[in-house]
Amino acid sequence: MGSPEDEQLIEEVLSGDTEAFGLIVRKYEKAIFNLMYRTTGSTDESADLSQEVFLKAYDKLETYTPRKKKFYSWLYTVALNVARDHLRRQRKNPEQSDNGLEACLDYGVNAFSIGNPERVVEVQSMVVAMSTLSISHREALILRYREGYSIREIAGTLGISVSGAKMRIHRGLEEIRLFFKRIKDEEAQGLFEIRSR
Amino acid sequence: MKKHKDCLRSEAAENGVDIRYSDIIDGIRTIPDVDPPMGMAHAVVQQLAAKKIPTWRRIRLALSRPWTFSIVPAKWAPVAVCALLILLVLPNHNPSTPSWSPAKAEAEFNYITGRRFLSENEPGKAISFLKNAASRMPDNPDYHFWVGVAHWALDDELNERKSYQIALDLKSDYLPAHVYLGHNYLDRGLLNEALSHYRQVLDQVPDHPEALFNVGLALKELGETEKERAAWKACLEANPSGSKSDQAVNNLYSLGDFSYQLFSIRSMRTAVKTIRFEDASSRMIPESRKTISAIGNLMEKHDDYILQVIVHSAGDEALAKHQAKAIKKQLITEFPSLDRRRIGISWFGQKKVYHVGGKQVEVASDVRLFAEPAHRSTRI
Repeated sequence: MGSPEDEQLIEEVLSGDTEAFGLIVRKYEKAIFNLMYRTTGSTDESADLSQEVFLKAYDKLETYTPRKKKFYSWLYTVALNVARDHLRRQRKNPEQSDNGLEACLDYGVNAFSIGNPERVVEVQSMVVAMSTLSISHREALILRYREGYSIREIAGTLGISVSGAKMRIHRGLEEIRLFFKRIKDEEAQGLFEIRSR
Repeated sequence: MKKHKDCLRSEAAENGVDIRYSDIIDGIRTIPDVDPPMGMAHAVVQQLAAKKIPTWRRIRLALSRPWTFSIVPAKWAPVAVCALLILLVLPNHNPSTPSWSPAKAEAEFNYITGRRFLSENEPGKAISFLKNAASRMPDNPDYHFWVGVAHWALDDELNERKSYQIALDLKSDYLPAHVYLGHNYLDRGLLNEALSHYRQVLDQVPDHPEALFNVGLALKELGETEKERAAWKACLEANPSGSKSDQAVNNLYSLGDFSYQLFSIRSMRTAVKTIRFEDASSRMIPESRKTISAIGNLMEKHDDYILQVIVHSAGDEALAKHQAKAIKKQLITEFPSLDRRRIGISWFGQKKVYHVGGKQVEVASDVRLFAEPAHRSTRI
C-alpha cells in the first residue's frame, strides 16, 4: 500500500542514510505543519510540533509496515498523537482545539489568500467553522475532502472502524452546517459579523 | 453518488437552510494551506545527526551490511615516513647540528603518531604517544595542548586542564589552550574561570565565534541578564550567519528581547536586526537601514523568492500599514532591480504574540521578515 518512492526512501533511512529522511520531511512537511497549525494556530508551535512528529517517526520507522498502510497515513497517525499530547500538556480537552481561532483568521487568511480577495470572507468563515470541530471530526473531513482518502483509509489512519469514520464525516459536516445556520440566524438579528480586512 | 448528493440536498432543504453539504465540502477544499517555515527538513536532519541511532536499527545495520576489513597504507604514510627517517638518519646523526636532535625527532614521531590515533578516534592509544612527545620536548606547548585534548577525549577533565595550563605556562597567549580551557571550565560549571579564558581569546581574536557564544552561555548560567543580552548581541554582530546564530537569537527571545530575527533564504540563514521606527511614525531608525541592505542584497541574488513583510502596531492598524509600506518603498528605492511584486506586505493593528518557553510574550510594535519560494506564494 505504501508508494514505491516512499518505500525506497524508508529503506535508505533504515540503512543509515539520514539525508534520505530529509527528503521524506520535505515531501510531507506541509501537510503535517498544516495539521499542527489547525490544532494550535501558532506558526512557532506548529513548527516545533512538526519537528517532533518527524523525529518520532524516525525513531519508530521500523514499526511501519508498507503492506498495511500508506506511509502518509502512518505519519498522520503519529502526528495526530503528537497533536493530542500537545493539547493534553496545555491542559485542554485533547479533542477540542479551538485555541488557534484568532491566528487562523489573521495568518491563515489575510497573509495567504491575498491572491483571491473576493473569497476571503468565505474562506475565513470556513476556517472558523472548522476550528470549532474536535480534532477527530475535523481531520476526518480534511482526509476525506482535501486528501481524497477512502473511508477505509480514514478509518485506518484515525484508528477507528469504517462505520466510525463514516459517522465522524457525517457529524463533522452536520456540525459545520449547524454552525452556519446559527450565523445565518444571528446575522438576521444583526448579532454576528465576521471581520474582514 | 448522485443519489447521495440528492439526499444531502433534500436534507438541507428539509431543514430550511441554504447551505448544503456539497457547499461545505467545496469550502473545505478552498481553505488555503499555510507554508511551513523554511529549513524544517534541514533542522530535522541536523537533529538526527546528533541523535543516537535506535538499537534495533543498529542491529539491523550490522546484520545487513557485509563485514569487511581494510588497510589503507596511505593513511599511515606520515608515520611510516617518520619511522623511516629516524631509522635512516639516526645512525648518521651529527650531534653538533643545532636544528636537529634525536629527542626532537622522536618527539615529533610520537606527536604525529599520537595525532593520527586521535584522528582515528583512539584516544587511549594516542595519549601515550603524545605524552612521550611532551616528555621528550617539554618546552613545546603544542605537545602539552594535544595531551590535554587526548585527556578530554578520555573524559579526564582534571588532567586535561593541567595539560592546557602547562601549555599556557610555556606560552601565555597560546590561543587554542585558552579556548579549550574555557570549554573545560564551562563544562564543569566554573563559569568565572571560563569567562576569564574566553576574554583572553577575544582580546586576541575579537570575533572568535565559539568564545563569543560561550561567554553568553556562561553569563546566562551566572544570571547576569544584561551582560548576557549584550553577549548574544555581540555574538550576532560578529557572526550573523554563524552556526550558533539561531541559538543566540533564541536566547535573546527567552530574555524577551526581539531585537534580532533570523532570515532564511534557500539554505542561507542569517540574523538581522529587527527593523524599528521612530516613535509612532513610519520613519525607520538609521540602524534599520543595515537590515534593509542585507535583506535587499539577498533578495536581489535570489530572484525566485518573494519577501513577506509583516508589521504589528498595537491599536494602530493605519500606522502598521504605513510602516509596512515604508519598508517596501525603502527596499525598492535602494534596490531598483527588485520587482515590487516580489515584496508582499501585511499589517495588523494588534500586538505581536511570541511563544517563549511556554509563555506568551506580547510586543506592541514588531516587524517580521521572511522569504518564500515564488512558486509557493499566491502573490506571483
